[in-house]
Amino acid sequence: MIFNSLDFAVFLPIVFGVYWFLANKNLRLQNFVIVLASYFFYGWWDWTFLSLILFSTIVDYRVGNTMVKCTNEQYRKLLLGTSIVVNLGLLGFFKYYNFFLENFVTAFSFLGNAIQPNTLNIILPVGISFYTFQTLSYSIDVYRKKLTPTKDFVAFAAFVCFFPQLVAGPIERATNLLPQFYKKRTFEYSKAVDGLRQILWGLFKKIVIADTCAEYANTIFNNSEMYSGSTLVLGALFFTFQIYGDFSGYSDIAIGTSRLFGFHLNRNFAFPYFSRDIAEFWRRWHISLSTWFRDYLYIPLGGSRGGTWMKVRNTFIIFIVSGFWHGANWTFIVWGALNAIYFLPLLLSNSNRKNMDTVANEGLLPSIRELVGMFATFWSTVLAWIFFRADTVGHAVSYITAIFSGSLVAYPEVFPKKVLLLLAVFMGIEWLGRKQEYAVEHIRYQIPVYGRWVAYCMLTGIILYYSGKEQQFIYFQF
Amino acid sequence: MKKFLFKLGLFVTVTLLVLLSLPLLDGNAATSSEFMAAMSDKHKRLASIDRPKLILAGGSNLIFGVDSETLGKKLNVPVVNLGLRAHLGLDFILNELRDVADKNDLVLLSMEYFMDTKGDEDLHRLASYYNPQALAYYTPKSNSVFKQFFEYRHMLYKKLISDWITKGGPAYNRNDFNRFGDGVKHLTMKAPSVLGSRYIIDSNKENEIKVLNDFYRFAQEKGITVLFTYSPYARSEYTLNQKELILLHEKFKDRMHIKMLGKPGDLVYPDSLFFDNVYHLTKSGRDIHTKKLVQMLSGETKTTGVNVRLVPAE
Repeated sequence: MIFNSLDFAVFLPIVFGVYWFLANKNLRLQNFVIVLASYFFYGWWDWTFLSLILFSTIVDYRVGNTMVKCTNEQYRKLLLGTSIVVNLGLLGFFKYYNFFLENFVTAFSFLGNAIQPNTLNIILPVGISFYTFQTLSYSIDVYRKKLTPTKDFVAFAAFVCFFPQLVAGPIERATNLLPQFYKKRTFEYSKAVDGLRQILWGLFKKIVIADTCAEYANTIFNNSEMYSGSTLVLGALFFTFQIYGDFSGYSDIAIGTSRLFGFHLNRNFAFPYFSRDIAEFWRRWHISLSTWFRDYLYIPLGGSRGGTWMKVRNTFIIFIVSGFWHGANWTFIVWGALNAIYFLPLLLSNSNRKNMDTVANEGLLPSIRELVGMFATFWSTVLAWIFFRADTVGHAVSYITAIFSGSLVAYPEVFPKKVLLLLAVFMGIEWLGRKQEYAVEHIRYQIPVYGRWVAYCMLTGIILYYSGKEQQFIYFQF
Repeated sequence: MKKFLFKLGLFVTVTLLVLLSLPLLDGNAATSSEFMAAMSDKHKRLASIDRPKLILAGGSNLIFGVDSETLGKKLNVPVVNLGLRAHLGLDFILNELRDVADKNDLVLLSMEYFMDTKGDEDLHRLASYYNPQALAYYTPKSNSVFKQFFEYRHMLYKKLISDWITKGGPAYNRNDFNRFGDGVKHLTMKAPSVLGSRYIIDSNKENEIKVLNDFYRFAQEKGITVLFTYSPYARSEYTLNQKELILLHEKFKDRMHIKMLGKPGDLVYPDSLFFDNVYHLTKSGRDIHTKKLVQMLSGETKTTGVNVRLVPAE
């Protein structure tokens, strides 16, 4: 079931009603309703893969509870290793088996040995990269004694499969989300209204911005050899907004939906395209994944504490692994490596934490320096997204080569002025709301009630006008 | 909670009321001036002819590119132009033909290069809203009555907004057709300085060839003659896609069983003969294209003995 479908529009009020009216007297029952609803939500795609979630849940629940009773460090390590092997094993098999096999065969063929690969027709279970990382964080935090393992299996199962963020995050830490399943939730009007507002904004980003841009990005990327450099730049630009609208829109809907049920999820996007350098961009883009890798990979590897070599190595590792997490394709690895190359000069010159506040924090407009920084960072990311979107590394290279051909200054063959105007308006709204958690969060303080209703109706009208295709979210495939 | 539910209920009610009341704004489906409603008018003409006839089927290239009256007079056969929108998709268009074509009819398929098999869901809904018989020409995404009800309202809402934004196309109205099913409003229109945006043609048409061959088998069994031709096409666009079009033609020639009239290059005309996109001919373009069709069809009936019993036109 996807958020931008009629199915979800029916599903959500039913679960909301059952949760707050039938199950509100009993916390355990409320958690059980969440588990049932989440399994139904996930099973709407494919019931068979529910067994994977259940298996991951049981393994990590058992690991956590056994670990806490154990004093033998070796045994604790063994238990942690079990959790890591099971979770990453599932992820590795479903997501990376064919990739490794094919590359292994290619490598061998260079040595003159022809091997017939026995690839499998494996379907990638939706959301596996997200929930495996979420459960892994639980086992690691229990091992590090940062978290007391839960004895409540239902609460733990609800934490693993919580439907708003099950298939595309935000990847929640057990330390944040799990304790919320222990406490009685009471309905809060302001939270619920805020949740609905964020859902509306998320739907706008997904349906109006991302899906519209997708149409042009797909046309241009799928026929890139036919277009001039200027059109290819537009293609990359459309994909840049597509992926932002798609993924941050999903996160907004997930966070807003959670609020309706009395939960608080961490922010996943913080206006990344207004970043002044690439380090700031990575503090603002897919925050839950970046911080996951920081805490469970970068810091254990030594982080930036060691010498220059150690910093370079760890930076490359974290960015390449992050790229590889997105998919079993060299394009993602190159995308990760390219971001590492962008990031390294900042790290090595100790200026990676220079821009910690919001851009133009004191006023409406950025300074020239900020503007130049934003411009450079934005176009660097646009360039990197070409690798992310291209079918192969070769495709990306030829795409970029064609951009820098003489036709870069030609009038673009595809030039949808209305869509570009829509993007300009969208970025304007985002800019005005950049100090908030999401762009229209403070609308309740800025516009009187009748104006707000008009704004909500108009937003709904625009969403309904653009809706209808039920396009999948990009991050479902990761 | 009460306050929340009240406000949310009010908001949802207002939204639903707007959606549900849309048919009132659009009037009666039978009398609507919606472009797609012309399908029923074309079907009525088909039903009124009890002799073998020439049915033109395909996308909008036929609406703007054929003078059916002239074609009918020259070939001595009643003509019905079924062309509406290429985005309906081949499956839909061929299912419509399965429904309406009779034994001894001659069907001329004129396909735009971008036409695919499945077509556009919104357009299917639009077609079946105004022409209930069209429900049988595609598989609705959902069989649920509840979902279909909302999908229709949603489609109407989008259509009304679109009409409001574009103020309706100058030649895209049900009343802009003549009795043969040809468009007539565009006949006074001139070519613009620039013709639409570039559309890249993909020569991979395996699905299209398959469904065309399936239809060919059906037509043979039913005693219907089918011929295939390409759409008229603007020179600038043809030059751009020439390689791919040659490839596409080779594939059609090798694998498609329906007899083909001409190759893509035969139906290319100067840009100055198109009025709003690279498939839509002006009056001058339409006259030239109609002559070409007459030539091709006469040649077929005379030299290859296509099994159509031509009878005097009305």
